[in-house]
Amino acid sequence: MQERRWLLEGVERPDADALDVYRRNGGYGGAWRAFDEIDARAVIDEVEKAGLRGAGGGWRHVGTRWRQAAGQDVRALVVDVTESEAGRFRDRKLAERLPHRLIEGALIAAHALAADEVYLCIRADWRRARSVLGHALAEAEAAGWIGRPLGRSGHAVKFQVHPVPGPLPARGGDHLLPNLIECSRPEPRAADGVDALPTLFGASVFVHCAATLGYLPSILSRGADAFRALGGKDFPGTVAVSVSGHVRRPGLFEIEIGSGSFGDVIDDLAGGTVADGESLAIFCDGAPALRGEAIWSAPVDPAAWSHPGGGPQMGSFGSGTIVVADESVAPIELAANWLRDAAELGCGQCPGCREGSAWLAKQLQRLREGGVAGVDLPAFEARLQELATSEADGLSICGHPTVAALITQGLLQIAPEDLSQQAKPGVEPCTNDGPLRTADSIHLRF
Amino acid sequence: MSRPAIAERLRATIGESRLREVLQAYKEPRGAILPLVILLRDEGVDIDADVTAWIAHTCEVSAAIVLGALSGFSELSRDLDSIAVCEGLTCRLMGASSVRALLQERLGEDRVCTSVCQNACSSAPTLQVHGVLYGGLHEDSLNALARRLERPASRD
Repeated sequence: MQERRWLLEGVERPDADALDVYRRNGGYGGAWRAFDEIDARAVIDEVEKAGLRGAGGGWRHVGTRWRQAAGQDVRALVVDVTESEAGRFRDRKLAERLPHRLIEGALIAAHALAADEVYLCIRADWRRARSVLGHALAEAEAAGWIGRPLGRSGHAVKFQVHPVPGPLPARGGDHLLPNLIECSRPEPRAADGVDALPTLFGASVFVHCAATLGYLPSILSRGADAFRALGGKDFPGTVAVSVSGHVRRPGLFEIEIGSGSFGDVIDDLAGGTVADGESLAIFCDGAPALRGEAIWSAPVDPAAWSHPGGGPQMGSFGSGTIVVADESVAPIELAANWLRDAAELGCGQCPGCREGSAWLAKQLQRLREGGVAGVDLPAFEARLQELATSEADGLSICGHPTVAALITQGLLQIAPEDLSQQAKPGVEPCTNDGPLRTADSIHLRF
Repeated sequence: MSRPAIAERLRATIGESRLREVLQAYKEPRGAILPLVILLRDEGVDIDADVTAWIAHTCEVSAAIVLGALSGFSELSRDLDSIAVCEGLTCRLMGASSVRALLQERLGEDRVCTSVCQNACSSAPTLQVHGVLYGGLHEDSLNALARRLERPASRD
């Protein structure tokens, strides 16, 4: 397996974040084509032809969504640079190493949507990423790429970096960030309809994940056919896989969709696992955790997963993020911590987050501590299942409780006997507090 | 310090042109609340009641709206000098609790806190102090960092 870079093209160049380096390597060529050589409708055609899908985990067709939004007077583009998924470090890396690719992608999207403003919503605590992005915007503005009429279209797009807290609820929907810009509570809103756009100060806005935008410069400059030639028929292109945990060379690896399994990524690109025993792979977007050989047969291909591709691999492919743990790790503690964090992030509008996840997290924490009487295991498992289906059953307005429950269930299913074992009297607490470990090397260091 | 004096100090910290630019970037001034909070925090300003009141006045909202916006930022309640050890999934697997224990022993419990996932997981375990991320931590690098972060003993 080899890396195939579209999104991360040029990431290892010295001073990759500098405008002159980006320009010398063809940067802003895609934006110039979009603004000067073709019109906005042709940009949408090109992206639709490429078959680009959203990289945030939803995998919706970008071009189709743009076409639907084109008549809705989109005022601004809101860009999500927050990595709401634990274990993922792709968008942060993009902002720190290739800020001009992100800016150029946002310019192209704003032009296609006829939006005059772009808000780059970035985690406030990523000080370096904020600073690099702010500097890149100043460079792009001084060079005339943003804030002034561009090319024959004469379309001018203004940019603003907007710091937001994080992480935000996983799969919290497109309304979270506009809410944060308005300084309303950071919570999802019930949508007016499936295709209704979120609003910001009363005007329609379009929300995109940073990585989705990062593909646009190359699609516009290299052409839709070159992108379409990679990957599968329904899911073309590449995916940037974040690999961390107990591997020898953790990092961000961009590969062609469908070119191998997650195990191949671990072995061929991440240097293999650190221990010989059966490793555990935790997927951070709603898929069951996998152990041992199953990791080597799990394809890096959304088409093969039940979500989004309707394939035989159970669970959600998400955005291709895995955390690897060796045999010494107790899944029950991972599950307890995961559910506790998810419960704290829930906004509490729906019963699942208001009552379900907090209660479940408390019970699981008690089980983790061990030797406690009075934990009703059948009731625990039944309520966890209710949480897992809350979105499908129409009991929640976003996917946050569902993702939290599915990941917890997946981890508990790895060692189902642990739950009943931990409920027995006199059992020791289950802990993963181990010694410090450091990887042999890091691929694309922060 | 009087309210006009506080306002003058904060305006000078941000800079008049930057302040105007931030306020003009939003259709309604309340959009500028978070950018102003972070601009001030980056300059080492504690977001206390006086600062909150000034931001509320500048953005034409009540102080309650600003306080609501701040409630999402756990890092704002921390001391500017505190060391935030990442407790994300990967960092925990890579020994975040050992990082915390070692630093607490060297620098005192009050100085060290934990943070949510910093999404720099390939560099786990990580910590952040004074806005700088430190990754790939091991015992030697932690000891060296602890030496650098030791506060000078106060003179009685």
